[in-house]
Amino acid sequence: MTPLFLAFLCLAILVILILIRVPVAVALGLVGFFGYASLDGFTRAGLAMGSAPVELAQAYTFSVVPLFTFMGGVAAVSGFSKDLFGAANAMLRGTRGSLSVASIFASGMFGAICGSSVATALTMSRVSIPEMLKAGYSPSLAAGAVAAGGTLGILIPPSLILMIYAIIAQLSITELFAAALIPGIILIILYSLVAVFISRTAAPASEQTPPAILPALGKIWHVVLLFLVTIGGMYGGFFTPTEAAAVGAFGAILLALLTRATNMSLLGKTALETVRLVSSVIFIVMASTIFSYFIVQTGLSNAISDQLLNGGFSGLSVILLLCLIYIILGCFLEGISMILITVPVVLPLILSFGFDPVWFGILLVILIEIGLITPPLGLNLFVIKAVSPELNIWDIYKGAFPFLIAPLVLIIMMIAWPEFVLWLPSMIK
Amino acid sequence: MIERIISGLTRFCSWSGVAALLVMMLGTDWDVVARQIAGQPLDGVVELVEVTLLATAMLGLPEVFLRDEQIKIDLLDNFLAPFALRLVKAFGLILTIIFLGLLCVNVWPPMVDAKMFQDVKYDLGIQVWPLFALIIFAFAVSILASAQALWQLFTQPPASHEGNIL
Repeated sequence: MTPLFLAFLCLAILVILILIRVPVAVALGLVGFFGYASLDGFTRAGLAMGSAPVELAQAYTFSVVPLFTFMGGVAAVSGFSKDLFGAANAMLRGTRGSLSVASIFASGMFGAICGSSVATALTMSRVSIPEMLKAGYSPSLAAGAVAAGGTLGILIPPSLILMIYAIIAQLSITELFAAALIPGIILIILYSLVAVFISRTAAPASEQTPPAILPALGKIWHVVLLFLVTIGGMYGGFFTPTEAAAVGAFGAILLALLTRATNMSLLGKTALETVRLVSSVIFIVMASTIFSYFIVQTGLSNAISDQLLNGGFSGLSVILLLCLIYIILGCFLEGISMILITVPVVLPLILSFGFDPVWFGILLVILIEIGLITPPLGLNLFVIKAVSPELNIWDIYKGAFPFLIAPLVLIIMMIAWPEFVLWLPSMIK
Repeated sequence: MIERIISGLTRFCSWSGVAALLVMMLGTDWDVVARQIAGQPLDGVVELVEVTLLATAMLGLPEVFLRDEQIKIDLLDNFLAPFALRLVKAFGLILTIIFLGLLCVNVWPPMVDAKMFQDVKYDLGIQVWPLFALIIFAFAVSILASAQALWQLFTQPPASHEGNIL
């Protein structure tokens, strides 16, 4: 059996195991271990497997994951989202569909202190969907705006998915966060344009008088402060990413306690959830390391690159093909699994065609965002259904569908003008 | 009785993970403040973060396995009959136990080597092998937790075994 045939066989087994509900980490680790053993014997495979958890004892860069996750968790249980929604609504008053646009803006701002799309969709749907329904918005617009806005959580820094990509691709987290900022802002604008367009028929002409702007803006001082201190401190050269995350987590706890937005019991529960989430994420990263050792050993990535280069494929066609594959995968796999399974194979291919790995990371996150609002496994859609059981799942699907145009337009822009993604990272180098 | 012991052990591990997370956060914050204000950074903070990160990541695992919260794809759930679904879940848990067992076996030699060669974390001055022992301990408790989840799969109503996808 040639190494390449073995690689394809193992990939097929991996897909089957994942589809029959075997935990992704277990499937990656076992396929990686037995694949490696088939190539180099059980002794070497055992060494590779043993080294993956052991390396964790020196993995300082991983520390941003628990600390930023903790910060996001505290922000999610502290009611910051309600103030953000109020402030965005106050700023946008008078516009038709302002509540839906406010929900997207507030999600973007919440994403700046919470790195998870699911957490963003969860908190924003609790706050904004009842308001929109009460104001007479169509259920599909209300659900669609929140589902789409929720995806911003993984693009606007700090982002859990970007941290994992940075670790797997061995890139600078600071550069990746910087690269995500401009696409994140553009995506907020694109989503808002879609919301305004749909609001012509799905939102009432006149809405309740929103609160005055200045008091509403005054209520979000804690979020602005948290963002400025963590992300600003990181780019201002005051903190490393780990330090920014630690300061952010501590700051979030302090602000939540000072504003009496939470209590010690809720904080304890959040800390426990953070530890469990971080454990499952790092376990899957560990398993994917074992899988990567095997994939590298087979030479699969180089073989695919050579085939595509010799076959006369252009870089553009490869990127478009990858976009298509990721959009299809996104319908069935969740983001972290998608990154950990595909990046070891795809990244060398991307590099061989001369693409920037930072640019590709941002593209990947946007493709994952599409998966978050695409049936059947659009996690944000399920979150909204869970929080708002009165909404029909078909209304939620129907509501999210038009918003897909926004990330697709952003992808076209990124392919046409990659400079706007790479400009900020080049400034901080 | 055994179920209560395993549940208690996994919960204890999770709270220890929380303690490690807090130490990581506060240690880093202390270093930042001490460096910015007094110009005296905390010695060994990088190694402190490494050690506490390992503890956070490992000690949360047993409860993840007990609660069957690993990241997985449950596309087939709606298409399978309840008994078939239980079999599929049981298959996943059996593979999980095998994988965790393999990890335990393969982390053992690096731990023995680290003990034999007296590897240390230089700034903190602590030996490395207890960290590797912690990894093996976490995997071992995770095996017990997975075994309990497997047992519960066939002894309790199906609703309590639904897993999460993050």
